[in-house]
Amino acid sequence: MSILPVSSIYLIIDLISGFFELLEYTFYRRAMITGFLASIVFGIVGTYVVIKRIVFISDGIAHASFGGIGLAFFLSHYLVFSFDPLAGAAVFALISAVGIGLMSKKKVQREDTAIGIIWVLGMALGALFFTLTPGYQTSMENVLFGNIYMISDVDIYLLSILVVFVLVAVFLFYHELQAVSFDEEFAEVAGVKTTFFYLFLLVIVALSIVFLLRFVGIILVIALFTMPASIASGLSHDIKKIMLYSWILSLIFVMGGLFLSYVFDFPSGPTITLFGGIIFIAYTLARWVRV
Amino acid sequence: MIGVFKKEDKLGKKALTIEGVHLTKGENDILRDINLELDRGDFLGIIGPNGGGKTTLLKIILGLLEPDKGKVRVFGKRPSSFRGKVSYVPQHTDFDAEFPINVWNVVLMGRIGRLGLKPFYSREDKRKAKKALKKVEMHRFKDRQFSSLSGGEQQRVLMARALVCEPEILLLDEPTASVDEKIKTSTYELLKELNEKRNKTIILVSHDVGFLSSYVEKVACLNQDLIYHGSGELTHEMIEESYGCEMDVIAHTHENMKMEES
Repeated sequence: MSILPVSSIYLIIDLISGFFELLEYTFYRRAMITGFLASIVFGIVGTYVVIKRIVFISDGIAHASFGGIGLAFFLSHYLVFSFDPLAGAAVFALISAVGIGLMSKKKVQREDTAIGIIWVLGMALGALFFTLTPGYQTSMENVLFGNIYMISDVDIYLLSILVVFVLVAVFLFYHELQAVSFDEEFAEVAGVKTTFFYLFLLVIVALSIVFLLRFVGIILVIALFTMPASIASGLSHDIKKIMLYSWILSLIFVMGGLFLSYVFDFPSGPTITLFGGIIFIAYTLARWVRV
Repeated sequence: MIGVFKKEDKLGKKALTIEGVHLTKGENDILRDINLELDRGDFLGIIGPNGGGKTTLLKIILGLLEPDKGKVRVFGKRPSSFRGKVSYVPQHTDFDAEFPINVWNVVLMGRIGRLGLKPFYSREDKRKAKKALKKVEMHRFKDRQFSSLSGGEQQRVLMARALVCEPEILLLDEPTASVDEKIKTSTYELLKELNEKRNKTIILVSHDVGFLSSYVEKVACLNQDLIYHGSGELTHEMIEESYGCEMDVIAHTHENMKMEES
């Protein structure tokens, strides 16, 4: 085959049709469905993460959940019961979300210090438990960077429930969440239970991280909570539109990343993250040049 | 009218009671033994140097901060259990300059206490938001991004937001810090109207000593200690006592006061 534009088009068509043939494989179909559902969560929850400036808190929660995953593997190995790593992650993520939230509210510690410490304690616990549990090295990489081959039907059901929960919560409490994000003190004075809504937001973030763990992994998950919403927030000043644009961008990042990971046979989590990262950097540079 | 009197009876005559409020941060006193009583319909101006604890005192009255010692009662209740009846206008510099929200949604936020579990604002909420925006002459900016406005414009939007709350007590933290003389006058006129016609209790923190003494009934000076003589007279001694060594401010103040007198 000669290197002609026409033949390269054939090559691309081949790749795309090959990609769609892949959909017949269950795991790839699962990955696509998960990617679609995930993009809704990334778009909506990510918008709050960006505008409320809780990126660092969210990343802290994600990393802290590693401790719970390690603990679940450890207990499953040494006890007769089997613990789902997601359950362990959920327990650690929720405790750290509420812990960080209350600590920053009550001002008992400097907020960023508290987040940094909870972050590394979770990672240290996870690393320790994984070392104490023989034969789980691959599992550790899977939870850190994600592995679409590990996605089960149960994961998709759980993620669907999360999507419905997020949509209903945002529909019902849109104004409260907007008020708490924009001006917490005024919202409190006006009668909004701001501590509740702040913790509610962190709990949604925590659950989103846990349910998307197998898809992109705890280290990479924050990229998809921030990059699409950050670009979207430059395109509109209306939170609802930012959510919509952010969802569309997330969908492009996820599907584009999955396609590229298939073409180059790269791991999906890092590929999705880097694909999004290139678009994000290009967008940021373009804005910089224009300003 | 009967309805109005009934409401007054229910709320009582004492709008605000502060007894022995004390707050320290590290080794520094922020507020020292603050005592203050306001009746319903009082209009109090608080002056004092930067770092004198003015904003902190407002936040304690709002129940956003708890004092180390002492008690605060708003119509006989703790501020944190009396939400929606006290509103405030914060300084416009407190806001995230990139937050995506337009003027209309900022003002509607004033009705959020009445939203309850409803996902949408009612027609009445929107009517009142529109009216408040017209009152501060910001209606034509209603679709503008809040952060794109000038400081003075933001200040007026925040004022409209506080108005749609329909509070009994209104607290304002330097609402005229970055507005021109014309807007300054209309802001004070608006507050005067709220105070005189609607019997609202108002506490205003400001550096505009000149304006304060011509609009406000009572003036207190705050510089960790609250010096309050109960009358509207703002004496040079009071200002000197509270501002301490900030001679520039005092000199400036004297000029303003002379201008007001003449």
